[in-house]
Order: sequence, then C-alpha cells, then structure tokens
Amino acid sequence: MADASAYVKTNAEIQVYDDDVRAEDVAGQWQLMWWRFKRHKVAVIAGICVLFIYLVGIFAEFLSPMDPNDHHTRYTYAPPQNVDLFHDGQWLPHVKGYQVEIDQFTLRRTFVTDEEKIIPIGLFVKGDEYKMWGLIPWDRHLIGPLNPRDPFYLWGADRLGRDMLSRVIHGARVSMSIGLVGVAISLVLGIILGGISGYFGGWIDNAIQRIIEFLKSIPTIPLWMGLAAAIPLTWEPLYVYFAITVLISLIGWTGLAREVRGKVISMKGDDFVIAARLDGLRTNKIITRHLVPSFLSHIIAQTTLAIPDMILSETALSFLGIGLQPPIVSWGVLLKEAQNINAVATAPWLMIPGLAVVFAVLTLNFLGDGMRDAADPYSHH
Amino acid sequence: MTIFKPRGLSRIAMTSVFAFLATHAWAEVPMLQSAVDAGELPPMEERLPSDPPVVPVVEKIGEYGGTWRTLISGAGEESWLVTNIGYDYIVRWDPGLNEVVPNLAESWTVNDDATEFTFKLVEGVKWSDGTPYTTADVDFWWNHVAKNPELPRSFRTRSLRNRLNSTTLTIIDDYTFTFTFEEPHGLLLLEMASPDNGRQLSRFPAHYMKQFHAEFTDADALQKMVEDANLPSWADLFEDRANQWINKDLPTLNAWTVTSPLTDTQNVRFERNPYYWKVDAEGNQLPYLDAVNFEVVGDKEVMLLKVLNGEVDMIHRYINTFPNKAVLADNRDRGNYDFFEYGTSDFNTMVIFPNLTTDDERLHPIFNDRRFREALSVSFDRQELIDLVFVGQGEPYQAAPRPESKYYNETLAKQHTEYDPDRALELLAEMGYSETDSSGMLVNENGERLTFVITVREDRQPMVDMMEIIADRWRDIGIDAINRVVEKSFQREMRNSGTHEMLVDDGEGGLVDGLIAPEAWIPIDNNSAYGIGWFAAITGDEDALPVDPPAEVMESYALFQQLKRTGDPDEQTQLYGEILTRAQEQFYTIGVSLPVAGYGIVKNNFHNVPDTIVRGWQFADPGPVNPQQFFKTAN
Repeated sequence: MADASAYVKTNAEIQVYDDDVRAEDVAGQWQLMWWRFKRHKVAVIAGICVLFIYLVGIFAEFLSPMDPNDHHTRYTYAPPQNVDLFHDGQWLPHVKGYQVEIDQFTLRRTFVTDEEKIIPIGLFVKGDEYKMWGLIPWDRHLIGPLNPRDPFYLWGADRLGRDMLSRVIHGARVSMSIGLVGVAISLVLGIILGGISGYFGGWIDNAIQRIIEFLKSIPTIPLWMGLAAAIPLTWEPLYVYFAITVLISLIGWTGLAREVRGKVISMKGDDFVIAARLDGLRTNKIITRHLVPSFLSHIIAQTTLAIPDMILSETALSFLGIGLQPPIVSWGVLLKEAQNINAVATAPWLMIPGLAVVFAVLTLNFLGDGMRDAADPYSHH
Repeated sequence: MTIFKPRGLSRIAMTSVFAFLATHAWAEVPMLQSAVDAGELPPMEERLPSDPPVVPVVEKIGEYGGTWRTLISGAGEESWLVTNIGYDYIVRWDPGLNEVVPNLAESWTVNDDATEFTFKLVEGVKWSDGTPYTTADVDFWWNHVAKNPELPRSFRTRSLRNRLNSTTLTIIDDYTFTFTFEEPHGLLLLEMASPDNGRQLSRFPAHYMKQFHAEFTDADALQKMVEDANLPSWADLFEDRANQWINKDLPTLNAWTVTSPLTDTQNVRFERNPYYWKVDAEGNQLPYLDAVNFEVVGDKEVMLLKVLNGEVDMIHRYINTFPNKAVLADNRDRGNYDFFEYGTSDFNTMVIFPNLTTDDERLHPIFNDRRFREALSVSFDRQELIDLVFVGQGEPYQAAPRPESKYYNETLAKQHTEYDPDRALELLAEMGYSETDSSGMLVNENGERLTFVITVREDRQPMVDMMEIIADRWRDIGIDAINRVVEKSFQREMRNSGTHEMLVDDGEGGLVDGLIAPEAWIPIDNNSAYGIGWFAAITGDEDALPVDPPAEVMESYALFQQLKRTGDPDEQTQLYGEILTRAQEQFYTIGVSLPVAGYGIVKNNFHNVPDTIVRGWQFADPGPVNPQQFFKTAN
C-alpha cells in the first residue's frame, strides 16, 4: 500500500513541476467548468433568460398591471389590446377601449375596438393595492392605465374578465419555484442513495434496491386518493401542493437512484477511483469529489428534462383536490383552462401561457445543455 | 273512482287508423321487406297489435331508413341509453310533461283512497322475438324477480321496495292486473312513468328469462351455465342476461334492440325491433330510423369536434355546455346543424347546503341559526354572478320550484336574494359577532371566528367560479369561509356520511319531478345535504350518524307521507304547498340563480325533433318526445 501511494504522489509532483505549465492544467474543476460554460454562447443567453424569468416571478406583484384574480363582468373574453405610442402626432402612449355588446343568441360578449376611446397608459402608475411578497403594502404597478378603472388587457382576458398578462406573470412565481423543489429533492435523494447503493454493494445495495422495488410497486392513484383524504381541507392550497410535491419526490427518486447506481458500479473499478481510495480519501469524498462529477452531465440532462414535466403536471392531481387550485395561479392551471376547442376557436389568447412554458423550458434546456458540456470539460466535441 | 282513457289527439288519430285499416294495405318497412318475402318474418299486420297505439308526429309523417348517429362517453353511461332507447314502460309522461299517459297499459282505474290500481295492457304487443307481452310477464317480474331475495334490490323498483310484502298482485286475465296496497300510494303513477321505477315492469320476458332462474331451471343445467359464463352465482347470471344494453338475445319492447353492446369500445349500436308495437297516424309501423349508433368517444373535446364536423345527427348531452355555445354557433353552416331548446327542470344553478346536522359542536348552533343563513344569503351579489358567469341569463333565485311550475311559491323563490351586506352585518352582530380581529374577521366575545369549509365539485366549472367569488364576498364582511375544490366522489362520500360542513351542488326537481323527489325541502334522500343526519334518522339509512329531527322537519315529513297517501292531484298540490311554506320558514339552503334553458344540436336533415325538450332524469328525456318518430332525409 505504502509503495503504491508513493508512486501516485510522485507522478503528481512530476506534473506540477513540469516546466510547460498551462492554465488549464492547474485550474480547479469549477474553474474549468466556468470557462467551458462561457464558451457556450447559447447557454449564456439562456442563463440570462432564466434569470429574467425568475426576476419576473420575484417581482410579480409590481410587474403585473392588475390583481390576477380580479374579475370584471364587462370584459369576459376581451381580446388583447394594442399599445400605440402617438395620438394625433402627439406623444401619448395609450390603448383603445372596447365597445361591448352581448350576443343574445350565442351568449357571449362581442368586442369592437372603440377608436374614439383613448385610454392613456403610463409607467409606475397607481393601481390595485397589493402586498409585495405578502409583506410590504404598495399600489404602484410597472405599467398600467392612468385611470385604474379603464380596461387594460395587453394579452386579453379570460372567462371571468381576468387579465391574462397579470396571470402569466404571477404564474411564473409558482411554476418556477415549488415544482422545482420536488425535482431538487428527488435529485439529492437519488444521487445519495444510488451512490451509496452502487459504491458499497453487498447488503446495503440489496436493502436499498429492495426499498426501491417496494416504492415502485405502490400503486400511485390509490396512494394519492388516500393522501387527498388525509390532508385537512383547511390547509391553504399552496401548502397542500407543496406537501404533495415533497411527497411525490420522496418516492420519485427511485429511477434516478438506479441510474446513479449503475454509473457508480461501472466506475468504481476505474483507476482514478482506486487511486483516490488508496490515497486514503474518505468514502463520501470519493463519491462527491470524484464519482459525482464524472456523471454530472448525465444528471443535468435528466434534471432539465424533468422540469417541463413538473410544470405540466401541476394540475394533474387537481382532480383529487390536491393539485394546484384556484385562486393560486400557475402556468399549469392556466394551460388547463385553455385546453379546449372553445378556447382555440374563440379566445386563442388563452393559450399565451403555453408560450411562456415553451420559453421557460427551452431556456432551461439550453442552460442545462451548456452546463452538461461544462461539467465534462475534457470532452472535445 | 278515476278512470283513465286515452283522449284528445291520439283518440282522433286512432279512429283514423281504424278507417285507414279497413281500406288500405300497409306498406312494409323496406329494411324488413326481404325477410318478409323470404318468410322469415310475418307481415306487418301480424306483427303489430290489432289496435296499436298511435304516436303523434312532431312535424310530419316520416320516411323509413337511416341511422341516428350520436355519441356516448363509455360503458358507465347506461342512463343515456335508458332515456334515448328504453323509455317504454306501462305508463309514460306526455311530450309536454303535464300528465302521465298510457303506454303499454292502455288504461287504468284507481280507487278513491289510492290503494287499488288496475291496469289494462294493450292487446297484441309482442317482444322483439314475436312472443306476446302479457300479464304472465308482470306476474313473473313481481313474484319471481322482485320478490326473490337473491336478485338485486333495484329490480324491485324504489316505489315498491318497502311495500313488497304488504302488496298483492292480482292477475285478472291475460291483459288485466291489479296492485292492491295496504297503505295508499298516491304517487304510484308518477313514479311508474319515471326510469327508476317504471323500467322494471317491462324488461323481464318470462319465456326467455326463466331459463336463467333457479325456480324454473334444473339446478345442474343452471350451474353449468353459471360456470360457462364465469360468474359466481345464478343471480349474477340472471342479472347479466337481463341486461338489455348488453345481451343481444334478450327480447325487449323497445323500438331498437342492441346489436353492438354497451361494453363495446368503438360503437354501441341498436337496430330496428321488427315487432315494435306503435304506429304513426297513417298506420306506418315505427320506428322510422333503422338504427341508432352511439359512437364511443371518451374525450369531450373530440365529441365537440365531431359535432362541429356534422358527424352527429342529434345530441343534447356532453357537448352542450354554456361556453361551447359560441363555437357551435359559429360552425352551424359547416356542420349543417342547428340548435333546439333544452329546457330544464332544475331550479337553481348552484345551491349552498350548510350541514345543519353536523356533529361539530361549534358549527352546529351557528348553522342552525336562521339569521346566519340569511346573512350568508344577502352578503353576495347574485346579479354580478349572473352577469359574469351566465352572461346575464337568469334571475336571482332560491331553492324553490320554477316560476312555470304549478307549485311556484314567490316568497320561497325570492326571499333574501337582495344584496345587502349591511343587513348581513346586523344579523351577525345580533348573533354576537360584532367585533373584528386583527385580520378584519368577525369574532364573538370568546374571540372565535365564523370559520367553515365549503367543498365544490371540480367537474362543475361554473360552480367553482361562482363559489370563489361568493367566498370572497363572505370574507369581505368578515366571515372566514374556506373554499375548497374537491373531486366529485370525495364530496359525495363526505355528504353521504354527513361529515361535510358546507357544500354546493345542483338544484334539481323544480317542476312536477319535485313531487317525486322533494329532497330540497324534506330530508328524505342523500341529496338533502342540509340534513343528512335527519335523513338518516327518518329513513334508517346507515351511512350517516342519525340526528333527531326537530318538530318542524317531522311536520314536513308527515305532510309528505300524507301526500303520498292521496290520489287526488288537487290535494297533493295543496299539501305540497304546505311543505314549501315550511321550507320557506326554515330556509335550509341558499340558492344563487334560476337556470335558463340550455340547448341541444340537431342536423338540418334530421326531423321531428321538437323545438323544446325538457331535461330531468325523472322525465327520461328525450323519451317523452318519442324518438321513434325521428327520421332522416338525404339533405
């Protein structure tokens, strides 16, 4: 043992004291990753976009022109308005009002743009009162009509006359946070338990694998129905959803754990792992420092694929009363409301949340792509 | 003694048929011509009764042929077949739903205290295999099906289930029978015209079903059949063979018989019954349509597309929702269809049921305080909800019979429908809720809030939307209402066990159907979600904990028992009025608005569909408007 470790050390010394030192040769792992990531232009842009989405989510109350749950009887299914910057050659940012009539036969409101009715709009206007992050009371909105009672529907209105733009903005907050918690928990559990299972083998492996099989054999729908009955109705819908997400991820880690275990088993006999072990490195260090980084790219790819799933499945459990429900606004909820022929044919603007999801998923995927390449800095393709 | 004889239009029509008969040889149904020519089927006059009932046509005498293409969502939709195909009982509703009229029974007599009902069957009616339908079939049903304890309870009919041993059936001759009851049974005819009850008397052909019945078949032979069918017992085999939506061999009295069963995953299909026993005014054997085809489509959006494309001839289920009307209206030309009015017997778009028999000690006195229920009722703006959710259609309304009903009670319908939050605050202050806590919620002297949970069914979008707004309004005045959307069966489960605090549901039974099912005003059913515990105490239902009903509830119940005992419609109306007055005084539930008529879709080349069909399970719509006389033309 002593001989072998001396040999390794000597080799390392040779490398470090080589005359011809390049920055890449001495840079740490994270440094290498960052360099590599910066070279991936699309990923950098995607990263900025993801940051933008999160900023929108964080400042949703201020950015949205209206309260997303405020209904307006006169403007059910109002179509989107256009913003004009000039009126009669004068600088006057405005939208046009509507002429609203009720079609007694088809039972819907018909909207005609009223060219006469100018609704001036501005930045930092007074509007609906809100509490920023549930704490700070304020009433300023980034953009909105100067008279808060005028209709202002840049992305149209839904069946209860609620502003789609405000709803999409508020939806970003829920969709880009709670769902991801579940992905994160699954990820951590999967890596840790899969890693332990693969690395140690023997009875530990056996035990963990049997637990995985047990969890996988539980039929999910009866399980959710049981949970739905067990959760007190007095809980806030957001807490219920959060609890359910956590519970789903508590049994959702099994697939990832199996993959990690396979990777670990195939790598634990590799020279660099044996070398680290012979160096006397502790087991958890070997797993986190040496094994995990070598299959990080695979995990990142997995994770970025799981996120769109999570957004779209927000409402999947709502039929049991444990998915996201009104008055919580999320992209999944909005898309569910748009999933019918009536919306496509008579109110296509209800599908705008779909574009938001596509945008978020694409940017997250590009970001993940860049991160995956970066996590594997020695690959050259 | 009341004697019912056919009268009015159908009488005249019948006379003309006799005249017609004497001079004219009937034209054979084209679809059956070859079978008749080949001698496989007797000619039309031998298949029909000598004096067949005449069905009045809505618009004109029709043409033979064609298939009624419609939709079904899956094997759970038996009720959709019951109402479209299977509405041929001994009596039926007239198309206008004003009275019970003859069907398989051509007349009947009732004695004055409604204990003796004598029915006279139409002579010469035949099952779809050509065997005559006689009192032998009624006798088989009563003595060997209804009274057999091994067979399902539903075969006994809800109407007679509790009178099984106290009732006698007397067979007078092949076509006349009498039911004699110990207690008066004033609602028997109404109940026999509705699917829950009427269906049973005319669906068991004795000559066919006896082979699956333990009292008539050798035990070994029966056991072999049970094993071959892979079923646990002969009763299961009997039930399976008696299913007219699945068993192709079962003779029926319906206009069409099944050729592709309800369990099929593509099409559920019914074809002409060559022995159907009704004719039009010109003596043509009905039905006009050769077949009815229900395409199985699980997805409601796909159903809508099929209607938009003109692939459905007539339908008034699944796709006829309020929001779909706009897109259906826009595509009328493309799909070559139009609307017909689908009236409703519902009295409310949404009824809020506080559980007055809740075992929650805090809520029990609050919910049972009429002032609280009145406060809830006046603290939201019904007109706002009507404008928002129903585009202005309807009017503020409580749980009360519809304005066109003869039982209409204006006070019950309109009390506490005004929007008056100040009045609500006054009432709540009287109850001791005059202070507010730090978050603006009303509290009593112990600092307790008015907190309760309302459950809404997730499959009812308008209810979800309305309840969200109502709960907001309640919170605005300081009532801590927690609004939760749950799955339908979960809500049902809570309701049936009486563990809900407050829930919202449909308001059904606003016309004469409310006489058969007055659960909105008397706790006699699981639908009486305001008094599930009372219902359990009154009927002995075991799902919920019984709660002793207060005197006024028992009074209403006694009035209803009295109503059921009388056969006199005027006395029934008067007693029903008294029940409604008590409901108005008690004000158990809170209504929102009166539902307006819905719509159905009919192709322009599909005829004899009336301008209005009235909805209601007790009416088995569209059964009463006679689908047998619907017909199709080329364009």
